[in-house]
This record gives sequence, C-alpha cells and structure tokens, in this order.
Amino acid sequence: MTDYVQGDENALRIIVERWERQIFAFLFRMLGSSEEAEDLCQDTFMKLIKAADRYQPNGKFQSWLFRIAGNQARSRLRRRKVLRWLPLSNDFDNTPDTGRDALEDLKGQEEQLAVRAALSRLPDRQRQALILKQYQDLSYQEIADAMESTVPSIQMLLHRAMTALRKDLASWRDE
Amino acid sequence: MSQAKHPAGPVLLAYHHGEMDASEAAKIAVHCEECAACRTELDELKSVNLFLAKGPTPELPRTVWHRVRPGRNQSARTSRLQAAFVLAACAAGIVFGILIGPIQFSAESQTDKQLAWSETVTIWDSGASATLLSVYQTAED
Repeated sequence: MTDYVQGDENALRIIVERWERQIFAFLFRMLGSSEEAEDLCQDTFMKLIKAADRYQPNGKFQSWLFRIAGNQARSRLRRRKVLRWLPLSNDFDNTPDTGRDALEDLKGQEEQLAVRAALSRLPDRQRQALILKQYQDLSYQEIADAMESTVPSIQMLLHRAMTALRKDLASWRDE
Repeated sequence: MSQAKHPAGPVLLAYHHGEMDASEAAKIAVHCEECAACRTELDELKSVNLFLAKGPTPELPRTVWHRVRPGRNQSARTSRLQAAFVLAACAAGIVFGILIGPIQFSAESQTDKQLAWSETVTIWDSGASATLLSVYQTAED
C-alpha cells in the first residue's frame, strides 16, 4: 500500500489481485448475494484508492481493508430494510458435478442452505464478527480493529453468535 | 480452577479459538480434563465450527481489477446503471403503450370559422417507438 501511495500503480494491482477473492467471499457471506458482493467488492477497492493518502503504514492493512468492506456491507444491509439474505437464492446452483451420488449432493446442498440460513438470522454485527473469525481467520484484535470495537466486545459478540448457532443448528449437528 | 468454577462462555470460546495466553490456557485445559460439562461445551463449539465449514465457498466470478484501476473509474458498473436506466425507460414505454393503446383525438376549432383545424393524433406505442401524426387542414372560405 505504501508503494501505491508513493506512485507505484502496479502495487495497486497486486493489492487488488491479492485480496479481491477474500473481500468478495466476506461480502457474499454478509449479504447472501453474489451480484451485490461483486459490486461492493469493486466499491471497497474504489474507496481504498480514495482513502489511500490517509493510510497509516503502522496499522494492519488487512483490518483496514475489512473495515471498509464491513462498513459497505452494513450500510447496504441497512438500506435494504427487509433483509434479502435468502437461503433459497440460486447463486450456488451451478456448482460443478463432483461425481458424488445424487443423495450426497442433495445432503451437501441442504447443509449449505442451512448454514447460509443460520448465518442470515444472526444480527449484522454478530454475523460480521463470526465471518471474520470463522472464514477469514482474523484474531480477536484484528476483528476489533476491523469493526472499530474492543476485544471484550468482540468476545461477547462471538459468544452470542455461537450460542445462537448452536441452537439453530442442533438438528443438523446430530446427523 | 475447580470444577465448581467453570470458565464463562466467552472465556471458553476464546480458549477454543486459541486467543489466550499460555498460562490462562493451561488453567482451562486442566479444568476441562476434570470437568465433563466444559468438555461437552467445547465439543459443541467444535461441532458448530465443523458445521459452518460446510457452508458454500463463494468464488469471485471475474477479477474486479479492470473496473477499479485508476483512470477507469467510470466503471462498468456505471455502464450497467445506464443500461438499466435505458431498459427501465423502454419498459415504461411498453407499459404506457399497453395501457393507453391507440388513441385518436380529433378536434375541430369551433371558434375560428376561417380556419378549419383538424388534428388527428395517433399514438401507437410499440415499445420505444411512438408515432405522432398531425394533419392540419386550412380551409379557405
């Protein structure tokens, strides 16, 4: 990022290509829509470019980037009013045939839907904290930085999220 | 740490996530060896993590680089918005055409006897096209 701020445009390309998949995956899990996630992924990097001169090299770049993406996602969710994070979206219907038998495929799809539905039912901030921990593998401190919060607050958010998920997924876990 | 004093839920979760310093983690590990309830709690946390791992793995359909690189800030998204606007305008035209249908107006001036004024307006909307036909006739006395 420092290289880009100093005028190296190729550095920006490296940043985008290094992080775009992770940002997209994070946004998809937050929003449940591939199209919206792609648009906001683009917007995240546009905002990064605009804010480049305010970048603090001593801060952690990953937390900064996920803060921008998280703010975008929460802003979009607020605007939706009615949550459109629907588990029945067909965004993943085109998954390639892996050769497993139909019953296994069906079970796998049901599990994916159950996970997406369970995530969608969490409050936005709990979902954000959980996704950053579970799928992006950020530390509590990094999550706190990304969400402009504190480590104890993040601990509490994650605990509440896991408690809700345990209840929600009980029937699936027993299978 | 005795069996009577179980670690609080967020503390056990932090232990599960490996977010504790070594001495605290060691205390909890010793407690969990003795405490079946906390071991069950930890097993449940692991099960939830395993379940979450079964969620879909989203794949970015195409790189966003070509849309964010400097100098290309008038992005493809803008083009998409423009295309959406044009489509919406066409759709509005079609709806308008269906609702109104062919309408004919005929008007004749009744105040000016020297000018026989006849106007026929035909609006026939077939999507984006509209035909306006006006016929003016001037009649000499």
